[in-house]
Amino acid sequence: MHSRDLLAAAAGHAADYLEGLPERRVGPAETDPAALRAALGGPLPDGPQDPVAVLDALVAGADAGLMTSQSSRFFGFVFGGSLPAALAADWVASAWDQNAALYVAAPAAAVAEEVVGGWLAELLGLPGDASFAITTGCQMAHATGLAAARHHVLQRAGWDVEARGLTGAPPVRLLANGDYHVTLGRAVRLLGLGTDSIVRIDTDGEGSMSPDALRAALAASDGPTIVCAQAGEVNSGAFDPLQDVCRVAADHDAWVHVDGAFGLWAGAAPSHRHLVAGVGRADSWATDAHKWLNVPYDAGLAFVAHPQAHHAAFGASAAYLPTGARDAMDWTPDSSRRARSFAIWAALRSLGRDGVAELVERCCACARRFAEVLGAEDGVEVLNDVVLNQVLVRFGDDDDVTDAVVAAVQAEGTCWTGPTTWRGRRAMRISVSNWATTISEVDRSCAAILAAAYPATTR
Amino acid sequence: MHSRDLLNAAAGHAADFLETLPAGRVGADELDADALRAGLAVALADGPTDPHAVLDELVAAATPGIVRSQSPRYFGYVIGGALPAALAADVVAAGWDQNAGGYSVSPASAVVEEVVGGWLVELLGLPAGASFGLTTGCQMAHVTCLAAARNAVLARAGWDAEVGGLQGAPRVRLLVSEERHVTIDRAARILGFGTAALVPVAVDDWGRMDPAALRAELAAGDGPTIVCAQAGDVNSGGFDPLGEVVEAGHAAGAWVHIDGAFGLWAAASPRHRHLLGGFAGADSWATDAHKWLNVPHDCGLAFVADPQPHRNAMVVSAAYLRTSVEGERDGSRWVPDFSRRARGFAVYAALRSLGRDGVAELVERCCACARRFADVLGAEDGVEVLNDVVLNQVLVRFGDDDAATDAVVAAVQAEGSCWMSPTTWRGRRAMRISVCNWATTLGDVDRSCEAILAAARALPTAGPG
Repeated sequence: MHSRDLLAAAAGHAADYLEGLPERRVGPAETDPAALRAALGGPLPDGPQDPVAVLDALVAGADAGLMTSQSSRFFGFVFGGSLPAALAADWVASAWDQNAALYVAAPAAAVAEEVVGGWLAELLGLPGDASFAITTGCQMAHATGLAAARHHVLQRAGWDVEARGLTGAPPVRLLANGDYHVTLGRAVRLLGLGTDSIVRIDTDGEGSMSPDALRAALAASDGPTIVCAQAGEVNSGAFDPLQDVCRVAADHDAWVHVDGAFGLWAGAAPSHRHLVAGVGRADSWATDAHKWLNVPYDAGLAFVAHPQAHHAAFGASAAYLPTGARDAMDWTPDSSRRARSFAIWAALRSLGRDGVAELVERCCACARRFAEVLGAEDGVEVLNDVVLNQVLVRFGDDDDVTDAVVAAVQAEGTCWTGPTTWRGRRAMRISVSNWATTISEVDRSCAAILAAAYPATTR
Repeated sequence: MHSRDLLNAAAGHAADFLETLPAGRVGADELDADALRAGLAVALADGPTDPHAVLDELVAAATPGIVRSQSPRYFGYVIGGALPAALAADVVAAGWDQNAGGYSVSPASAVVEEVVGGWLVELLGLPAGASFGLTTGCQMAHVTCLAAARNAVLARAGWDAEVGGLQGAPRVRLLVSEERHVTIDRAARILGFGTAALVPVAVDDWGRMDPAALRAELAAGDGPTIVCAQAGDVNSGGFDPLGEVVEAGHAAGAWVHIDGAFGLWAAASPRHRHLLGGFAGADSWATDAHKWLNVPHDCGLAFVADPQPHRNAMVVSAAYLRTSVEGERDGSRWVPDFSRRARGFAVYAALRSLGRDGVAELVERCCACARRFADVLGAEDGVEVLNDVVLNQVLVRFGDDDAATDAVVAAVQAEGSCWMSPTTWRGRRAMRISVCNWATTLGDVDRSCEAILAAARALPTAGPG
């Protein structure tokens, strides 16, 4: 049977890792696949092995190849860490091992899911009667929101896509922010709409969609149309003017889907809420809980203002109205699934409304500090308007120099940031989204970045 | 800072729960949603709450509504438990909190995933060189495989589904078993085929696809075609004649996909491998790791014989992502997900702790338990086993009566020694017994049979008489 000692050993390994993070080198110590294969690979063993030995071997073999993305000085990608309460809840959830597809197979997980759905709609300023789904991430939240959209816009055109499919259906146009995230294009492919159905709408220098360009595109053709707007561009953090986008789209009966993978959380912070003004007027929203809410991987969130369309796209049962027990699989692409609701419940309960606001605001303040400290140096340029948690930094106005600085910072290990290309120019991309990051971690990281930059910029 | 005390407390709560399983009541103590809401549906607070208090509150409020599907006497659905090593690995993986989207963002999870992919291809007897993906479950494994199929069959018809979508594409037919699982229909809807594209193929009395009927349907149409066969019917555990299905499908130029949510694991058992016949000749396979391999939820597995259409269907790239590097596998390029939990660690620990022989023993023990259920229950007057127990599924009917059968199932659930769900098989109600937990023994089966027969005897209409 399960051994308390084994779980204690697992807890010890995890605690050792987490306690080591403040002073551990940020980034993997080993990136050579051959070395990791030597530690972790080999043939499938014939006979059984003691679980404690398996655990120890896994930890020993994997440690060097872990990305220390839980570090308070990890700024690569928008990953987030995990809040202590959320991590603890996720552990208990693993032991409970519920299959959260159906109420009857996991009543507590179903109720916790219904509760966090309500909390989140309120916190993010979405309609109180919106339906929702907990997915693996924003990718599948896009697939969820867009499947509901596909159903809705085709139904209005007299076509039942669930029964008849897309072959022979009226063409569906997707008018998307020209800087749309790759996951949006992938969701469009998955749903069988094909990337040719995407029309890119012009954006400004920050990556914010032009309402005039959207209006022109909407007027260019009628028929089923889905507008894909962004709250938080993945590089610059810029927001589309959602109020205008929703108004223009409504004039043309188009569905508005908002990609707010991290930017939707601006709605939870009074100081940043203006960035998402009008967001509640959209038709569907996709975001992540494992990013800015800092729950362990993985959890994404989809919300839909039209529960009937949402249910029609995924429901296995006939009735869509809540009958007192919510079957999660009627709202998600997944069937059998992990009980992700417990970690989200614990995260929201431990932070409270003010704690979520403080987390978002602190990350944004850290991003501004990065911009101020780095931007004050000669030869260092901040390329974006730092409205949220994203900072794009260029060194010596040179692609190679910038890449060299990023590589040197990664090699040095005080902090970790990734490179990107913004408006044709290479940049260091700094994303702040970890619950444990403070201004002093930023200052320590700036010192490391500038130390790496000076030899590179003056060579 | 994370506190070691909090993590120890979580591990303690987990151990407390697991230690109640061998002797405890199976099923949830509280099924009423309002009763559970009383504990969980508090108002969102303004201020913070201490993490220890949050953990204790969650455990107290949720525990009554936790289904003890980890119990060795839980036979409802095909859910499986969690092997100790797999659970321990999953707990550590949550602590590591890796985003297993790409090699560069988590080299260790990428390598572990590559290692388990290779092990599983070998263990399940799939073609060497098959590509694979770790999904949430068999539902998304179907979506993955059928997206690859969509790419391939339309490419053969001169159509790029990724770019052109389905709207102007040649119509794709999906020839599916009459007894297919609902996840096939959902996958067809998600991918934009629509349920009207599904052509049901007749099955025999054991739920097995009739190859003659399949050949007739294949001949009745042309154009891009996908055949969806079953390895392990969700009720009876029956297997389609996969060798014949593959041969007929390929003769007609169709892609053959196999739903082996649990049945694919028969391949890991020398004694049961024959059930799968010529399955290895198919084009794609979907299964679960959280069912019979007993890793914690969730983890499904998709395999595709030809990696190219699989890659075409799932590929992704972005300015801030490194392009694919030879020799480094990016997990998200083989599944519909992008950011994702590192599911490979738990699978790795499960396979290492069991070894090849341990997986075979697990499958064979579960099948032996299913046969014991059939032997003991079927020996009673008025109790009928409706299926040929070839695998881990047993369908039992009481008093040859729908109401009596449902009453026995309800009484068993209420009594709590064991738990199983009702189903309808070929128009008749039945108790559905699924055995797929690593901890289940013949002793658990005997104890459960006693409880079932006691419940049946207490109901005058249900027999045994």
